[in-house]
Amino acid sequence: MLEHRRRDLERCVYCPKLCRSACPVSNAEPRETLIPWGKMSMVSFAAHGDVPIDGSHAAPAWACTGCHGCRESCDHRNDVAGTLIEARAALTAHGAGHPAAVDVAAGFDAHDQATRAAMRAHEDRAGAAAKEGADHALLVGCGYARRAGDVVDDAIAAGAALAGGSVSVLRGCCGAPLHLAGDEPRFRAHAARFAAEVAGARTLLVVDAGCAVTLRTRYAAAGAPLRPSVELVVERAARDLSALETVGGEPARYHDPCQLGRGLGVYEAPRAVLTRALGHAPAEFDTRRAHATCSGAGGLVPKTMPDVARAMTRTRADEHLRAGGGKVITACASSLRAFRREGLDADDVVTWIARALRARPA
Amino acid sequence: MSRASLRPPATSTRKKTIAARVLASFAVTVVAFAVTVGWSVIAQRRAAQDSEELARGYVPVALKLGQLRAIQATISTLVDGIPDERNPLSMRYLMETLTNVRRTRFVETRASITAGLAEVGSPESKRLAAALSADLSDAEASLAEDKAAFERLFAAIDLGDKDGVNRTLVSLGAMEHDADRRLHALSDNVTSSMDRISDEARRRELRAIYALITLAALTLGVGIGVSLHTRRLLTPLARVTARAQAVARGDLTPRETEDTADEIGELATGFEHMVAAVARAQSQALSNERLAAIGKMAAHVTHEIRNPLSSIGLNLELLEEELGAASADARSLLQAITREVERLEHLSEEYLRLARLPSPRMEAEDVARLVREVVDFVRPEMERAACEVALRIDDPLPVALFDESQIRQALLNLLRNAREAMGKGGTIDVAVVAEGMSVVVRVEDRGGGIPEDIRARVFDPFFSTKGEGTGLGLAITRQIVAAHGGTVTCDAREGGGTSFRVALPIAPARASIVDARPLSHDAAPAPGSIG
Repeated sequence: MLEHRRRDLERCVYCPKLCRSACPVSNAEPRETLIPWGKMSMVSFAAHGDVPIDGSHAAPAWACTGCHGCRESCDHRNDVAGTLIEARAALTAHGAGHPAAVDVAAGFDAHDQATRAAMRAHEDRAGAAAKEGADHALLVGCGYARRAGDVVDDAIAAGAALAGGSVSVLRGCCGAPLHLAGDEPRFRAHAARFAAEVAGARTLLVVDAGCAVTLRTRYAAAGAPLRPSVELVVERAARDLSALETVGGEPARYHDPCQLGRGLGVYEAPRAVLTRALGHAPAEFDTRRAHATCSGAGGLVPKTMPDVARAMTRTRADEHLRAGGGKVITACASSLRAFRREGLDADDVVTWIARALRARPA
Repeated sequence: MSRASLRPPATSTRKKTIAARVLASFAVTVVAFAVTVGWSVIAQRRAAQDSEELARGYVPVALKLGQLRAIQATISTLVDGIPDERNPLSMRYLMETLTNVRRTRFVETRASITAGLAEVGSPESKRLAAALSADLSDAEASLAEDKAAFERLFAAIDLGDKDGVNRTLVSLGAMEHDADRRLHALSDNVTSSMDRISDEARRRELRAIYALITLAALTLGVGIGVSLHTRRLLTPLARVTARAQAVARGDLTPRETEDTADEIGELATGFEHMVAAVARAQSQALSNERLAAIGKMAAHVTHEIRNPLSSIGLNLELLEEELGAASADARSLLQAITREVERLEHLSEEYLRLARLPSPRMEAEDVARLVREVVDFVRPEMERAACEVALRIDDPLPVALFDESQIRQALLNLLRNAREAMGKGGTIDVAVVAEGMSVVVRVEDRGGGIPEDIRARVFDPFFSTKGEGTGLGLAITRQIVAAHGGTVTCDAREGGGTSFRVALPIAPARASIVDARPLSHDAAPAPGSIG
């Protein structure tokens, strides 16, 4: 089991645990089994046959938001998040999947249908901006469609404007929940269907960083390479800042989403866009860019360890409030929802892109 | 290389052949190369053994020990932090997992020691394996109580018994840290042994490199030496070649030969013998040519003298008639002159017979019949000389090829020589026998014999041991016999006297008349036959 990840696993097991404080999960829940060493050790012991493959020994693999924070503290830049998420699939295949993750996978079809229904409604409201068969397809993301409908309208408007007038709006989910839940066979099947669905587009504009990571990296590994090129809306907007008008606004602080920052290495584009739209540079968290603290909303941790996820969001919110509060702007549907649940005034960067584009003189 | 005088080739005394020497040189080179390659193979094999010992013996032990140490270090660290743990249940669960894994690592480490190091290693490594195994057992034994201690600890935590927690933590911490130290010492022991093997392997590698360089240099030296040796072996060949070129230019002077006692020496000696033979043949040819010229001139002079001698003889007879009853002194002088003229005429005839001997007409004849006729012919003069001829003839005898008149002349010469050799008379033995492919006529007198140093010259022209005579009789005899393809020899007779032996070849079947041609290459030169 996980033979191809053996080196990554052993690198952690026999490491002096210098990344102990880099994991937001173990910082929120101080248990040795939840630090990166503990999670990787448990997976390694299970793979080696030292411990039985059961729910209790498999659980640490689901105690990861996939934020890559530990990687930044590792001299070897060990891919802990990638290994643990692959371990989820292996453990699930051995019948040791996390119950909450199993539920997510089981409910994925319903989730996908609900997403499609929500997107269809937004598409109807978008009018001419949404045009089936357009060169540019737009994937807003299930997180926005089901939990932040206001962002979806802005995303369609911004995507259409950046694409030259209209976009073909994709209604379904990319399948990331299946991948994070460890249901690899169904993820592969869904990825193949999704790839076929977007095969006619030339460019696939993506709003959510988590979706972008899944499409760019996991699809190819799952044997479903995408035909159109995948481009983040925020990166497309940053390419021509002159198209954005400054709309001004109250002080706002930018939160680096883990998947956009440490996942895709995109730090400057959102800041440049926000600086243009706000008329000033956004405020920063104490921990930012590659060292930004995770909001706790990713990796299905809100499902598998909801209290821990909530604690993590609270930690980030406290950091924001200690720094002066105000609006929080992010570029991740999960973070946005988590911050809003925590009572913060949170926006998505795509909303500000849409505002800046709409303010452009006709 | 020394040089020796000309001597016959002697293969039996040859020391070593060129082939043997070249083979020996090649063998030396091959041995040198084999030593180098052998050393290289041994060095590589030793390096491979070291690598195998490290790879299959030490490395697995070091890896397993490292894993065991990591687990033990983790447990030791975690034990110190247990009091601060906010979730004792989670910690208990983790510690149980870690101690179980540690137990597995102990088993794996011991297996790697006994199955790896103790089996593939050197005797020293086997001793180390035994020591490691014992130390590992001690370390594991030192942890025998930790499970109970953990249970006491977590029970005390559950009960909120701080004193109990502290007491148990102290003993548990001491136990875990002691085990950590023991494993650390074990690991250090393995590491230092690996370092020692690696260092030794490096030193051996260096020695092997130096040895290989030295051996390679030696091999190169041997190769150069062998090359020089071979070149020296073949140097005499160049001198032989130069000698051959000199001979080709006409230099036939004798030289010393190469004393190399090998094929080249034999070649040089054989070549010098050939050169000497060529020189002798050339000298003989010159001599023959000179003799032929002299003979031709002598025959011409003799022919020119015969006519005046005839005139002188005729005039002497007329002068004797004219003198009539002249003084006895005058008649005595005239008779002396007449005898000398007759002697000169006889000499000139003999010489011309020798010089102008006609080619024999060969016919298949019975030698016995001819010998009987010749013996009967000379019997009267033999009797006058008080000699008796004892004739012995084998029966039957094969027919021989010969010219009857010439062989008759030859036999007459031999019989008369025998008679003259027996001044006081006696018996002359004549025998006709078949010997091999010849019919032999043997004439033996019982005279004073001929000294050995003179016997070799009796067939030379003009050689005579008698006061009178031309010295041409035996020369003519030899020339006749040689012209028939036969041989004539002169030997001392047992009991005194001389024995002449004439061998004539027997006639081939159905031969009647055969043209004369020389049948032997050792026929004496015939001065008169030239020109």
